[in-house]
Amino acid sequence: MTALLDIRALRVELPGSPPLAVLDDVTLSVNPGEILGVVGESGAGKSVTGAAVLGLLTSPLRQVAGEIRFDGTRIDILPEARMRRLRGSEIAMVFQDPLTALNPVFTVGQQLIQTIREHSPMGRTAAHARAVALLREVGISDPEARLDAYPHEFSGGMRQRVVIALALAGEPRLIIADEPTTALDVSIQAQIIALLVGLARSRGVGVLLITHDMGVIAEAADRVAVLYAGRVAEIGPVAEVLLHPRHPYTRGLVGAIPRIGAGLEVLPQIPGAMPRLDALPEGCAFNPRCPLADARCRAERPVPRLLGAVQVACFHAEARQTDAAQIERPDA
Amino acid sequence: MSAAEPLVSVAGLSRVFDVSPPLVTRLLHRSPRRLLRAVDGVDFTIAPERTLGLVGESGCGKSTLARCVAGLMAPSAGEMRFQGKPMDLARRPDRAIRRSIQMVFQDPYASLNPRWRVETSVGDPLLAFGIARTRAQMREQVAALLTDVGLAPDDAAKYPHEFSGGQRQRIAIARALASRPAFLICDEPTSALGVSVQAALLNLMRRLQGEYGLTYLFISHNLAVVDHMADDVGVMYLGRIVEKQPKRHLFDAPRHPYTKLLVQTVPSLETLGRASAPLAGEVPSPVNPPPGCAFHPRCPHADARCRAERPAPVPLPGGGSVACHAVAEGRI
Repeated sequence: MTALLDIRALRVELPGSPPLAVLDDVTLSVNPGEILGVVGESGAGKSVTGAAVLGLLTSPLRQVAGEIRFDGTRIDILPEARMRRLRGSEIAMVFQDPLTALNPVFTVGQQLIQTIREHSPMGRTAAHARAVALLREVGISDPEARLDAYPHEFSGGMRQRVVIALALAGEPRLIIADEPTTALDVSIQAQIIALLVGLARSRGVGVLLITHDMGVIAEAADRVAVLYAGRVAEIGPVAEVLLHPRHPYTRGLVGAIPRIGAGLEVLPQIPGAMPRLDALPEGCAFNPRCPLADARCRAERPVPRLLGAVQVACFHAEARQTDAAQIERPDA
Repeated sequence: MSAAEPLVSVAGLSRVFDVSPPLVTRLLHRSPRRLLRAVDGVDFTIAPERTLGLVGESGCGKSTLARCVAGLMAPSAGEMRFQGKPMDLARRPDRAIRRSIQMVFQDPYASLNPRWRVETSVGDPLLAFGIARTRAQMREQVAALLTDVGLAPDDAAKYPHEFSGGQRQRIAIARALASRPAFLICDEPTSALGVSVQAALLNLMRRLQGEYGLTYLFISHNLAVVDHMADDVGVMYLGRIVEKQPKRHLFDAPRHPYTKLLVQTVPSLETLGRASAPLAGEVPSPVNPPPGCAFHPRCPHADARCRAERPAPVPLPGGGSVACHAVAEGRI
């Protein structure tokens, strides 16, 4: 099966002397109907990955190496005019803040109908009917009446449903969802996740789900890519990565999540902080914070390799969990 | 909850905001005043050196409650006693009490003055309350505070923009601790941070609680974080505390249907691969709350009485209380 989205060895730089790699050798793919979660701390390159796929890298960021294929076709070298046709119709996006993603001076219906007609030529009545159907699909009750409402008349969760309806207007095959639930409340979060999962299953839409919330990944994603300092630390099926993390960074991240009923006195934490892009260490980017780091880690950058179903960029990925237990020694 | 004499006790605290349209508009349209009951008759006590966690979704009145208790906002009604003495919440509390009650806010990017060096931000309370008599004393104490929160004494000369979000929150904590408070109100202190930074900060706050003998009111929408930090947990819904219990009871055997919903929908690693069944509906508007129990439109156990009569808190055998007719009548 060809992947719907295939990113190979993507490198995005911030020009300068020397240029700084915001994304470095990022390789990942999304299949139809699959949700790929992308996690990492702020500054790890999650959102830049999404922007690169959409061809929306903001200057001065630029792609200097690698390729991005959508349905087998390279899209990173498409002229802007053709990329514009693709955005919205084939690849759609859902942003974190639904209030800024919607235009406050137009009704939800006007925005939906305009977007629908932008992507497929149809009359007002047909577009209106389609708008109603879309709102119903994303779980907005009484869609006929809600079409005439302005975004501020919706609650946060309902607005995010409208944004998802807008994203679906062009019948996309891939949705880039950048922190779609971060601005929402817990019980509403669960509703939006269920909606995204449902869309992937029923419509076969591929979803690149960018989030810093491991709980959201656990519930929604089929596979997950863990980003650290612009590099993929680990990528694989979600159960494998979260329950048996092989990269010491993933282990630290998973260990740091507070759990209900854990009864810990002290939460495990990863010592130190993610390095700045202009101060990346030699070798593995995680080595200054890693309990398993040795001379090789400090000199040589680990190439991702396949361990079972998981691809890990670590020389010590086979180390037993007990060796990594020292990572859970907190230095608060 | 605890036999010890409480450090803080709050009874019948309410805060009403007038959100009416301007007078002329009201007269022209003959529309009535519109009142928003952000906090509606809240009672709680916190024993010395204990932590009361408060959870609830956005708009439930958590932050308004925090501001009233901190003395930053006058409540519309209610009483508060601090160290056994009644506090006049309507007036500016006296210096001794202001010294003893401090607050840590959610967004460390907004709570620190970007034009002030760390030394000024942290040292200002020291000078204001006369804890440091000279600038030299102040510098010494600032250095000690920064060391206590895991920063370096040299950081005093820097500006907030030179720090990451987690480090800024440490600065905010150092400033809150400067006046040697007994009671610290933390309003979503880690919500803007990633998991590994959050773990470090939660560990720090637990350590400081022991070292400084602090009593916390810890507000968060994240149940796992509250479980980690709190001794007792209160659940807020639309301005009221609907359930309050020692945390083990609350998480192991939640009584109120809303608490059950919250505990069930927490995204976590345990819910891997199966999205939790989301409950339909949203938090209603506090301007126009439903009659009776505010939760009845979303509640699977609601009956005629729930729709008409507001439930009063009923004590629970294990300590704490729940405000639910269905529980009081033994229906659930």
